[in-house]
This record gives sequence, structure tokens and C-alpha cells, in this order.
Amino acid sequence: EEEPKVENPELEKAKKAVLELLREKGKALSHKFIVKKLSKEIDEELIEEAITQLLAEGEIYEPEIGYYEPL
Amino acid sequence: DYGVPIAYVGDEVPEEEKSYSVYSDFKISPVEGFHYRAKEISDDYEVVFDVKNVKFALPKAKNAAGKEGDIIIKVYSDYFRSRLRKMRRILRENPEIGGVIDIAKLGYVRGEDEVTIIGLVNSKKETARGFMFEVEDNTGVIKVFINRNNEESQKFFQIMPDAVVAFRGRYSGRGIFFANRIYLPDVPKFKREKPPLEEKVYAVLLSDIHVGSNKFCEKAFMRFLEWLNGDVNNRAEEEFVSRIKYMIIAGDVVDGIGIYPGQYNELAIPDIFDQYEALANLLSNVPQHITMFIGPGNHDAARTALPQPGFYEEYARPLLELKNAVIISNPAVIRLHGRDFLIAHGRGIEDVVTALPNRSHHRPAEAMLDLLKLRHLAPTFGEKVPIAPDSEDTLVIESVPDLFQAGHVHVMQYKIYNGVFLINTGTWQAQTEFQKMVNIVPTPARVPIIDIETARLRAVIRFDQYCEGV
Amino acid sequence: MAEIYSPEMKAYFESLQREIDRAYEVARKAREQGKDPSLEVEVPQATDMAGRVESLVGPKGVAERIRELVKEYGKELAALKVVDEIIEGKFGDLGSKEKYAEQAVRTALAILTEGIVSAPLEGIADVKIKRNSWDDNSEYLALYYAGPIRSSGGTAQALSVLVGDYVRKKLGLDRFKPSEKHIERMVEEIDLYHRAVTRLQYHPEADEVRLAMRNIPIEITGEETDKVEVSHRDVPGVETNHLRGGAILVLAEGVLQKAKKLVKYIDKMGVEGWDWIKEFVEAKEKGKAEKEEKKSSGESRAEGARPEEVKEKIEKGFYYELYERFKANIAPNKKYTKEIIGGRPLFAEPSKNGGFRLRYGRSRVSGFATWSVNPATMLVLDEFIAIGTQMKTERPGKGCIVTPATTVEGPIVRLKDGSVIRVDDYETALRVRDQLDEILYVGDALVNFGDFVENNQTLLPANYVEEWWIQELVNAIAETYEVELKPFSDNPRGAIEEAAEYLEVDPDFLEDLLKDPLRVRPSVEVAVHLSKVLDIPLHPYYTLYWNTLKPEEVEELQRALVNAQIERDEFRGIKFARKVVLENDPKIKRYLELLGLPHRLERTEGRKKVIVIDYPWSAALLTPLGNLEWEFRAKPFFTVIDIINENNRIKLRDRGISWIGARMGRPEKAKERKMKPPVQVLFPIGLAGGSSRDIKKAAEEGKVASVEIAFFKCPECGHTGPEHICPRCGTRKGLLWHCAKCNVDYPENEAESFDFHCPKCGTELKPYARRTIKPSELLRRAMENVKVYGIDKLKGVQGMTSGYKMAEPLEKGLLRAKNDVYVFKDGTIRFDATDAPITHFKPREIGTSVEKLRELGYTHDFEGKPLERDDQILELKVQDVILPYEAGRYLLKVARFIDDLLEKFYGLPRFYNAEKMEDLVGHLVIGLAPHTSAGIIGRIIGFSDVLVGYAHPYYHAAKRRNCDGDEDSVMLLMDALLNFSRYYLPEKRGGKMDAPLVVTTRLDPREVDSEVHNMDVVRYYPLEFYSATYEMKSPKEIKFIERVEDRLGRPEMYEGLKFTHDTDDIGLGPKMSLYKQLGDMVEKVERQLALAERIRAVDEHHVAETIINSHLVPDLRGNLRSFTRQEFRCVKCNTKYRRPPLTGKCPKCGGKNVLTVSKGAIEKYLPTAKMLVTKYNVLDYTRQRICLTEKDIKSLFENVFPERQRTLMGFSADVCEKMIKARTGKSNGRNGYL
Ligand SMILES: [Fe+3]
Ligand SMILES: [Zn+2]
Ligand SMILES: [Zn+2]
Ligand SMILES: [Zn+2]
Repeated sequence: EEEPKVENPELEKAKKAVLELLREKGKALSHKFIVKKLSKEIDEELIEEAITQLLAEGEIYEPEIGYYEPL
Repeated sequence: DYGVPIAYVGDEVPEEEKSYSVYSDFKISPVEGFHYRAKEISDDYEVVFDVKNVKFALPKAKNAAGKEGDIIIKVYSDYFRSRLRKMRRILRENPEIGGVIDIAKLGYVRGEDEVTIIGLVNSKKETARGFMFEVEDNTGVIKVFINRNNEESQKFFQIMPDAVVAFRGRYSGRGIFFANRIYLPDVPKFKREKPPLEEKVYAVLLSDIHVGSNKFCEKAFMRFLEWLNGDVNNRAEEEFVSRIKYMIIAGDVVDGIGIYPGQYNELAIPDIFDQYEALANLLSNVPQHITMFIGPGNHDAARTALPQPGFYEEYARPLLELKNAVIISNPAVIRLHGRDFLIAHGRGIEDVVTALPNRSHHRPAEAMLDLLKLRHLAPTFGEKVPIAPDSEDTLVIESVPDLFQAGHVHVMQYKIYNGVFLINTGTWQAQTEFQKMVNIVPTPARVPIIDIETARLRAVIRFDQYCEGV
Repeated sequence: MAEIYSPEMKAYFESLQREIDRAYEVARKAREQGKDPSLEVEVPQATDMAGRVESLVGPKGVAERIRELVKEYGKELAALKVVDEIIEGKFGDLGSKEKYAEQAVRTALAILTEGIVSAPLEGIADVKIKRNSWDDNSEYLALYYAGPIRSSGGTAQALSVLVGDYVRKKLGLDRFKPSEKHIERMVEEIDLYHRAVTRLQYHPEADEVRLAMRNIPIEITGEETDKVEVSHRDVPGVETNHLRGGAILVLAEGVLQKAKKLVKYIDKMGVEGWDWIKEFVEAKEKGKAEKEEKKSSGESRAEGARPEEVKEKIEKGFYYELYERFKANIAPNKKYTKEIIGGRPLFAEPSKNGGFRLRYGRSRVSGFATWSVNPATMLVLDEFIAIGTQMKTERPGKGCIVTPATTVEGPIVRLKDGSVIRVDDYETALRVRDQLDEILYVGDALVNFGDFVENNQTLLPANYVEEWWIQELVNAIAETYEVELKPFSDNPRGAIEEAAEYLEVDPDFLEDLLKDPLRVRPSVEVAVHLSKVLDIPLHPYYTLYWNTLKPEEVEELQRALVNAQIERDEFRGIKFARKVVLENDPKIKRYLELLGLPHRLERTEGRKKVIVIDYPWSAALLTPLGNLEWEFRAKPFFTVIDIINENNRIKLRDRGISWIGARMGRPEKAKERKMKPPVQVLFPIGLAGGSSRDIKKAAEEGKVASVEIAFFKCPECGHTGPEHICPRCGTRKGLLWHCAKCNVDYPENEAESFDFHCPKCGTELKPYARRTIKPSELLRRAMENVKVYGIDKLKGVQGMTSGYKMAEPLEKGLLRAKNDVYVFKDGTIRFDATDAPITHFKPREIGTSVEKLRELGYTHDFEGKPLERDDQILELKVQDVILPYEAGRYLLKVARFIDDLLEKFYGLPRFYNAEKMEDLVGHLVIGLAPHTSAGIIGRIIGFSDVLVGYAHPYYHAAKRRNCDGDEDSVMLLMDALLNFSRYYLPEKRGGKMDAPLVVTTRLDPREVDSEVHNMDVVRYYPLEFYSATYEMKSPKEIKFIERVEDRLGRPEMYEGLKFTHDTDDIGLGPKMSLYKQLGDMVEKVERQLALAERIRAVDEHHVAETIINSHLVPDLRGNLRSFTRQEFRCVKCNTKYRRPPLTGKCPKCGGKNVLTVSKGAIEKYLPTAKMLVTKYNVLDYTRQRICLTEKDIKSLFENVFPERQRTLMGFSADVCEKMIKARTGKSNGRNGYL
């Protein structure tokens, strides 16, 4: 009965945080910076997963290996 | 127009295409039926003095290795010795002058004896009590003093450095000669009468045409040429034109190139060949029966120092090819029907104006008179007039002329002195920027007509209404 | 009041003062002995302006008052207060009104000119009270100016008039009421001066002169300075009919030119009656504004029409628009190209692409009016520029000297083998200098911002450079990753590591890059990476001169690249080209050259030539073109860079917008000063010494000499002679005064009682007489005194020009001869060198050990680290100087002379004991500029192998110099103290210039030439500055770059100055300009034109034409003219004659006469001129001018040296003959002169 999506609100929160950070800076950010910046509130693994999902969803892209930029 | 605006593009050197006219299609023919009386009078002219005919003694180097500089100095001192020799001859013609002795011999003369010395004035100065000269002849140098109270002393103000003067007086024995008389070479008070001519015959005198200058009064000059071709205003003018047989041009016939800094911008014709071409094209309209005597000035393609033997052939060729032109040197003496005309461009006037008090560019005839009294066209060495290293001084006015013509200062003025007619013939160039700055007001486009018989002015015809900027 | 020195600075000044005191102590002991004209040391010390003023012009006791008054009122007002007090008699009774006036004017002017220049002394010849006799006969004040007034500068000249007027009012005098004659005389004089003497900087219009003459309440008049006569003669009250140069300068370049500044002073000083000048300034400003308005409104109207129609349609690229604004605002300035001297090349046409690339900054060998260039540029420009060579520049100022900076870019050149390389270092330059084919880009000129302020030059758009990029990097890191870093300094390791982590670069590299971004640069792929992830422009090193090409040309280039072989590579997913090989199409090759892209030519197996572009340049070329992944297409109103930036991820900034032109001025100089002919002792020998004035020779030949000389009589035994001390009994003798008329001598005390007039005839007594001396006797005695026998020569003078004609002791000459040194007219020994500024140095550059420098007070480097190594950078202390080797070697000889002198002549201990140059380190010198009378103490700290005198910009400013090519002298302090005497100074006008009449002991930056106050003192110019340059702001709007001015009055004015660009070595670069090594004019000009042909930014035809017109023709015509009006000279007695004596010999001495202008002098430049008109495209006018000149020369001598028949050839290559043939169809075959 339970939808799989609702299963992980934490991940959605992480995705939102990553996207917000990227949009705020408006340019490519290094992977390490994103992790460091968000790791106080969000679990590192979750951040990784958020990035992977965002990439897969086409919300962000990787102009250079290890750097992400919103599309 | 699209392209990257490269910030700056340097100015191109102005393209040299001929944007000016050399008057090649300016052709006038005489007014039909105009009667030239002059055509029927036979020619009677002779160039009695021309520098080109002078044989200058060549200096001999003492040995083969004689240095250039030594030779030049030798020639320059020969030049002044020749002046002294010629002037002594002139002064001796004055019966008042006698007892002439060399400066070196003064020591042998008794103090009470009056003697005369003749020499070049090296310098002169005013002192509290009178005037002091330093005088040099071939044998030595002496100081000459004349007291202020002596009327003769006023000649101080007529003497230019390097002029030759005679002093009469006593030698003090202390290195100073006390003069009581001063004799300038001068010209005699009275002139011998010359036989009258059968017919009236006239000459027109010109100078400083400055063809090529953007201030050359070309319309006025063309109008003058038309006038010579019979396009006259009245009977009187008709009579003049009919009897004009000679035209004399005393230098600065073109504006030249590179004469002063920045001249390029003030030239209508910035090309020396074309300037003479243009002049020749204009003068080709002078009726054939009029003989032109043309001499160079400081703007011409000619030797820059005095005397100037003529024009540089290769640059002034069109002028030399004019059939009715006789090229004369600066200076020259022409004898027309037995009357001697001394023609000089007149640079010496500049030195007179600076050396003597109360002289001005605006009154050139007065300066010419000073030169005549000193019997030299440019007495002072080392001031404005450049003097060439020649072994003989050809600038001495050796014989007394009937008429003395000069130009150079662009102001027409005339004067008579002891039977000599002095005239500065003005110009055909309107006031230039430079002249404006130094406040020189020229009198362009005036043509004096000279009655050859009397060597006096017959009339002045003015064309300046055709000259822009006047 | 706050202390203006730090303790270190205080210690420094105290140590200088100790050294000064030590030297004065020794000198006092020597002088006391009475062997010199004065018993005292004649160089008084002054600690400040007030002290100098008192020493220079007096009156006694004024210094103290000046100090108080300046503190209370400021300098300008204090000058007037001093006037009040002088006239009120507070400094004693001066006798007449005129004397009061004179003293007041001189003192006030000295205050206003900081007591350095000699103008108050020499520039004002006299002050008189005269009457308006042509008007109402009222009394007025007249100032008599002399030529040296020039040295005080226009503003001070103008102020002297103001002061004069103040004095006039104070004395209750009426105005000067000039008649029309007075007025018109001045109008004429100013014109005449401008034409006949020297061009005035400001040539006022006649009406301006009239206005000034009518309104200036005192008479500005003066002595005649030039033998040029006016036509307005005998004007009442005007003593001369010749030009009055001093007065002309004061009116034209003083009052009128500086009217605007004068108004400020009038307000400040509250002088009344000068409203006319305010109106004059206002009218002038208004006139100017109106003119400009007319101009600009005209423009806007013309432009206004167009935008109406297409307003919103036109889209312009950023750079397109910038170039447009640039062109509209700042026009090329051609002034410096109007004159080109033979042998002194033009390096770049005005504002021409490829000339000097403007780079903003101040190197440590820069201060004001200095350009630093890469030493490679000096080499590639054929060594015409050496260290210290002067250049005339397009902007910001008129001139500069050149110093080295290795951290700016060098030239880009094409070699003979077709390859293009960037030459950024000296070694490469040395290697390729002989293979140069074309100089595509001359290289950078580092110009400091302060010079833009000083010259009020609108800022030109900055070219993209490393110091700008690094700030963009730092900024981007801060914004993106929130890590704060600082460029040009050490950063905390933690921050470095964090940033490095985000950027995925090596932290050590990042650290180095930040610390020294001018030397450390990323590889091209890292540069691309940084641009990509930080969104900053591509690093400037890899940015090409894209905007030198037109967009269509880049289109063509792109098409060629599409067909090229490209080796590709990848870095972190970034594609880049490792190598590009292209067909050798000349057009395409030219485009690559213009881009400044290094490449080479290679032969393929098929023997075809191809263009090869290697790493990293392959990447630098292809990255901006998106590795050809998008198509470059030209677009209206877009520059190449605009198009790239629109299409490419990696953005570019233009590295080549602003270019400056320059030509060579004077070559650098470092040479001992010798008089002409050289002199070893100021002792008259007349004609007895022959042409070299050799006293030794005269003595050997047993000659007696008749000379004008001062004699002294012994009060004890009656001995008379030129010595101050009696050789018989050792008493100090007294001066004999002489009546030339009665031929009688009077001892000084008697003479004084007769008021220095002859009691018999009333003639004024003279301190000298024509007397007979026996050189052999005098010399023998002197030799025995100092035990010097074996000298070759002892060069004296023919006659003395001083007022007293006191001779120097021959002993001094003997010791100078022994030590091979020469004396100057004032008794001192000088070494002259071009002034060069330096604010920071490294111990190893100046050859002084770290230990020694520590002793001298250099304990820390400029960043505050303790001094340990010889390559640390130290901040120069303001009075320390670094002398050229040449000076070191010469001063070493001088030191030996001084020691000998102390020991053998004065019987005192040796002072210097210097064995080698380095032993002079720590010793003091006096620096002195020509036209000034106040020296400044300097301390030698080392030597450099260059031909300039390196010193602090303040030090040069203390001499009233900027550095645009001036030369000043140094002398050893002890030499000046022992040997300088005012009694030796020439009596003529200007004789007191260039003499150490007073010496400043402590440099106060507030009292030096204010130009140096504009020098900037920061480590780098901030980003704000670069954006301001794109807006072409006025430098005055830039408040955020600290300059000296901002530090005045605080201890920081002395210390903590920074520079923006380092250099590897202050001595790296050519030592001597090629100009000085070339022979005759033909060679000079050939080399100069060879260079012109090589430089892309120079048009050699233009150079040829300008050399002819500005140098050769004036010389040729001038010499031709002066030949025929020349003076003649006697070789033996040197008498000059206006014309040659009739006898051919000198009437005075029978000597031989010689020409002063030789035939050779006229012909000298003719071959050069003919070569130029033959080889280059000059105007026909110019060619004819040369050919006519040749003919003029030939015809001048036609009656002296008749032409030998020339062998006739069928064809002549002579340019003039060819021209004549072409124009007249004839050749007379006689035209060639050569
Ligand atoms: Fe003329
Ligand atoms: Zn004695
Ligand atoms: Zn006496
Ligand atoms: Zn002599």
C-alpha cells in the first residue's frame, strides 16, 4: 500500500538541498564541496545518492568529472 | 561597414597627386591691332656686369696636403682684401682724401701730422665722450676715436661692420687714432649728363613673384600679363604698354622648397620643377619683343650664399628656355640704352635694418641708400646675409649706377639720391602667416614703369585689386 | 604632535647625522689651517626647507621664524608673513627700500620653491623701485628676471610676481603703469623669443599678453639673455633692446600658463587686485567648454540621427562597444613622433597594435616617469634601450626612463626560419636575437598608476594580465567555495588545502600561484579546468591576441583548422589539442602570427612545408574555438572575442586593447664630470701651458705666465703670492686689492678703509690683478709640500672666471693628478649619472653582504622576515643610494685623493682608507642636480653594474628631479667639505647654479618635489581598478589605490611602501644603449631603420621622412647657413673673430686662424639623407629638398674647389640625377656629389 516514493523523505530533502545549493551558486560545484557543505545536516551517503538521482533525472549535469551544475 | 574597430589607424601620408595647376593652358595673345611702338625701336642692351663672367683666382695650396679649412680661410681673407682694394680705389676718387697711409706705419708719423687711414670697420661702439671704432687694413688693427662734438661723428650711425671707411686725423701714439673727418665711399654729388634718347622707351621692374606659394597673387599677375598684351584701361596706359621694351625681375621668382621650416604647408605647388614650369608658362605670355632680365633670389633654386651666379639649370630649365629671357646673376649691372641699372635681390637690406638705427623693413629704399653710400650690397659678414667663399668681392658697387633696383622685403619704395634712382619693387605675394606674425605688411602687385632715358619712375600701375588678401 | 618617524627611521637618521658630524669635524680641522679661501667649511647643513632658505638667501635668523609660521599658516601664507616681517625690519635694517624689497622677494620665493632651486638667487637679477615717468611719475616696483628663473618652474615664476605685488603694496608703492610701448614691446618679445630662441611651452596670444601687461601691478623686466634685437626699441625704463628671456618666461610660462594655479594661491594667500586673472581663467575655461560642447553636440547630432531608426535593433558586442568608446574618448597622440633623431629609433607608432602593451603597475625599480619593460624587449629592440635609457612617450607623460622587470611580458617575434616564439626571458632573447625577422609584438610597458594621476591621463582600458586574473580566481573561490584567500601573499595552509581540494589541484601549486602569480602559472589544461569550474576568463598567458584579427579572418582560420591534422588529448574529461599541423598557407600563417601564437615550420616527407603548433599553444588556439565543435561566424558589431564569448564555455578577456607608442630619447649616462678641456686644478696658467693648459709643461719649459690672479701678502714677512699660507713663515696671508689704473696694491684692511676704492683715482679696487707668476717655482714648492713628483701633466685653466680669481693650492692639483681625478669649476669632483628610481632591492644585486647590510640597519625584508639570505627583498631607506660600478671605481680614486689630501696637505689622518669599491659602502655623498644649489646627503649602500644612479624616488625628488632622463651628480661629502669654495664660482649669471651652497641632511618627503606624492605604494591594484579602466575614468576618481600623498605626515611615509611587479635583477638588461656604440650617422640611421623595418608597429617610411625633416635637414641647412656666417678662431689664443683677419693671422698673437664650422660639418649628414631618400618612400618634396641641399653645398664651393670632371657613366644610380632625368628628360651627369 505504501508508495515507494514516500519511503524516503530524507532523500527528497537531500535532493532539494543539493539543488538549492547549486542554484544559489549558479555555477559548477565540486563534489567535495557539496558533501562538506551539506554533511552537517544530511548524511553523506544520502547526499551521494541524491546527486546520483538528480543526475539520472536530468536535473543536474556533470560538466567535468566531480563537478555538478544545474541544468 | 562592418569590421573590428582596431582602435587606431595612423594617418596615411597624403597621396601625391597633382592637385595644382602649372598654368599650362594659360595663353594670351596680344589684343588685336594693338600697336607696340617698342617693336620698332632697336634693342640696345648689354649685361655689363655678371658674376658668371668673373674669373675667380683659385687659391693655391702651399703643398699638396694643404688643408681644406686653410684654403677656405685664405679665400675668405682674399675676399675682404679685394674689398679693401676696390674701396680704396673708390675713395681715392674723392679729391678730399689724401695722405693715406697704412695702419702699421702710423708709428712713424709725427703726432701733429694729419693723415688718413682706410680700413674695414671691425666694430664700433658709443662711449661717454664720443665714438670708438676698431679699424683694420692689410697691415694692422687700430682703434679710432672721434669726439661727439664733431659733427662728422654722426656718420657713426651710417657705418655697418666690415664697411670700408676712411678716417682723417692724428695718431696719438698710444694705440688710438683721433679722427676729425670720416669719409664714406659714397657717390659723387653730381652725375654726368647722358645723351638724350630719340624715343621714349620704358622698362618694368618686378621682383619676388613667389610662384608656388599659396599666397602668390596669381589673378593679379595674370591680369598684369593681359595688360602687357594690350588689355589696357586708358590712353595713358596704352602709351606705356606700347613702349615697354624691357622687364627686369630681381629674384624670388618662385617660392622654392625647403626655404623655411613648415613651408610645405604653405605651398600651392610643393614641387620645384613645377614651380619653374608654372612661372615659365606665365612668362611665355610676355610679348616677344620685351626682353626679360631674370635674376635669382634667396627663394630660388640657386646658390644660397651671395653672390648668386644664376639659377640651377636642371631645376629652372623651363625658365632658361624662354626665348626672350636673359638670365642674370645677383647682383648684376645691365646697360639699357647707355643707362646702368644695378640689379640685386637685396638681402643686405636685412642687415642694414638690424645694424643701423631708425631703419625699417617698411622703408627699404632708405636701407638701399645706406648700402649705396657704403658702396656695398652686403657689407657685414656674420649677420643675416650668407657670403660665399669667393676670392674676389663682387658685391662692391664699383661704378655709380643710374638706377639701383632691389626686392626681397616685399615693400615698394623709391628715392633719389645724388642722381641715382633707388627702388625696391615690392612683390606678387600677399601677406604670409609669418609676415603677419612679425608685422610685415607687403605691397603686392604694383608695377613701376621706368623711363629709361632719365632712369626715373614714369608711373606705377596697380593690380592689387586682383590680389586676394589685400 | 605625533612622531613622524618610527624608532627604526629615527635611528637611521641619527646614524646619518653621526656620520655627517664626523665628516664636518675632520673638515673643520682642515679648513682651520687657513690653506683655503675660507677658514670655515662652506657647505652649511640644513635639516629642512627653512634651514635651506636661510642658507641660500637669508636673512639671518629667518629659518626659525619660517618654521613657526609654516606650522601656523602653511607654506604659502608663511611666505607672505615673512615678507611682512622683513619689511617691518624684524631681521635688521637693510638700508634702502629697494634692499628690503629685494630681500623680501628672494626669501619668499625661496620658501615657495622649497629652498632647493637657485632661482631665488640667480633667477632674480635685481629688484628696483622706479618711476612711471611717462605717466604720473609715481613710484613702482620692478623685478628684473634672469635666465635661471627657468629652473624654478612656471608656478613659482608666477608666484614670484604675486609676491612682488605683495611687497609693492607693503611698501606703499603705486602700480606700474605701462604705456602702449611697454605693452607692445612685450607682445613682440614673446613672439620673437618663441621663434628665434626656444619654443615656449605656452605661446600666449597677443591679446593675452596685452591683458597681463595692463593688469600686472609690477614691472616684469630683466636682463638681456639673447642677442636678438626687438623692433620696439628704446622703451622708457627698459634698459635693453634685446630679448629679456627671464621676463618672457615669467609672463608666458609663468603668469599666463599657470593662471589657473595662480588663482588658487591668490585665494589662499588673500592677495588683492588680481580679479582680472580670475576672469581670464574663467573666460578661458568657458571658451574651452564651449568649443568642446560644439564639438560634442555636433557629434551627437550626427549620431543622433542613426539610432532613431535602428535604435533597438543594433546589438553590439561588449568589446565592440568598448573599442568604440575608446576611440571616441582617447585619440592617439602623435606629438612624440614629430621629431625623430638619427640613431634614436621609433619603437612604436602612436597607439599602434603591436607596440608597447600597456600594463598597469609599479616595479621596484620604478617611481615616477619610469617604464619597466622585460629585458628581453631591450635585447630584441637591438639594445637601443638599455637600463636607464630615456624614451619619449605617447602617454601618460612625455618621457620616461626604462628599467627592467622580468615579470612582465617580453616580445613576440618571428624568426628567419618562419617560426614564431614568445620571448619572455633574457636567455631566449640572447639566443634568438640574431635570427629575428619581424617583431610582431614589442612587449609590455609597466606604467604606474601614479603617473596617470600626475599627468591627469584618462585611464586606458586595461589589457588582461596575470595580476587581474589571480584576483578573479581568488574572488571566484571566495564566492563559490567560501574560502578566503589573498593574492600576492602567504595564505594559511588550511585554507589553501581546502580550496585545493574543491578545485582538485595540488595545494603546493595553489600556494605558489597565489604567492607569486606573475611567475607561477597553471598548465593549459589546468587553466581551462579553472576557467570551466570557476567561470573565470582563460588565464592571460594562454589568451591570444584574438582582437588583432577581423572576424572574417578567424572564419578563414577556422576553415583551415577544420582541414588540419589535430592530435587530441583529454584531461579530466576536458578535451584539448596536443598538436596541430596545418598547410603552410601564407595568409593563414599571418593570422597565426598576428594572434601572437607560437608555432614553427616543418618539412614533411613530401618536402612540403607545414605549420606545426605544439602544446600548449595548440590548446590555446583551439579551446576558445570550442575545439571546432561550434562554428565561428562573423557578426556585425561584434569583435572576435565577442563572438567567442557568445558561443564558448571558456570566456576570454582582451589582452591587447591599449597600446602606447614611444621612441628613444637620450641614452643613459654614468660618467665622471670633466670640464672642457679637463682640469685638475683651478689654477690659471694663461697661454704658457699650451692648449692643454699644462702647468707641468710650463714649469719644465721655465716659462713665466701673465695671468689675472688674486695675490696674498704675508703680514709678517711681506711675502706675496697666490698661496693663502706664507711659504716662508707659515702665516695666513691677507688678500691684496688692486687698482688697475694706478697699478697699486692695497692690503685688505687698507682697502676696506677706502671702501674698496682707490684713494688716488677713485677707481673701484679689484681683488685680483694681472700678475706674472713663475710656474716652475710654485710647482716645485707644491711638489715638495706633498711629495708628489712623478706626474705627467697638471692641467690648470687658462684664466679664472670667478669674481675673486683665487687660485686653488697647486698641491690639490698634484694629488688629483696622482689619483687621476678631475675637478669641476667649484672645486669639487663630480660623477654624473642618469637618475633611476628604486624602492626595493636584494642584497646580491648590489654586491653588499647580508652582514654589512644588517650593520647599516637593514634587519628585515620587505615582508617583515628577518634578513638572512642575499635574495630577500629589502625596502630601500630613503637616503641610501646604489651607485653604478663606474661611479664606484671613480669615487674610490676620489677617496684616495681625499685621504692623500688629508694626510699630505692638511697633516690629518686618512679618512676613507678604501682599498676597493665595497669599502665605500656606508660612506656619505652629496647628490646635486643642475640648476639647483641645494644638495642632499646620501649614503652609499652598494653598487650595480648599470649606467644609472639608483636611488629612492624621494631622493631624486629631493633634488627636484623626476626620472624622465635627467642626470644628476654625486660627490663624496668630504670632498665637498674640504674643497668646495664659493670663491671659485664663476661670477657670471648662473654661476651659483649646480653648486652645493647648502646641503639637506634629512629628507622629508613633504618638502620634496610634489610629483613624487603621486607615486602609488600598493602591492597590487584591486579589481575595482580594472573595471574603472574599462569605464575610462579619470585617475582622480580612483580613491582606493594608496599613494604617497595619503601617507604624508605619518611614519608610513617613510616605510612600508609596496610595489606590484618584481624583477629578477635590477641590473639585468643591456648596460649601454646601442646608440652609444654606433659610429657615424649613416650607420646609426641604417641600424635604426633596420629596426623600424623589423617592428610591425613601426612604419619605416614614416621614420625615414621624419628623420630627414626633423633632424637631418635642420642640421644640413643650419650648418650651410652658419658656414657662410661663421666666426673664425685663433688656435693659439682662442680669440674669436667675426670675419677672418685680413692678414690671415691672429692680430693678437700671430696664431693661425681656423674655421669654427668646417666644410665637413655641412656635408656630414648628406650621405645619410641621400641614402634615406633613395631607399624609402618619402614625399617628392623631401627628396627635392635633399637634392637641392646637395646642390647648394656644391655650388657654395664652386669658386674654391672647382669640380673635378666626373667620369661619365651611361646610367647613374644617383637618386638626384635619376629624379632630374625623370623630370626633365635630361641628365647633366654632374649632379652626384658623392
Ligand atoms: Fe622674396
Ligand atoms: Zn711671511
Ligand atoms: Zn688708482
Ligand atoms: Zn691669437
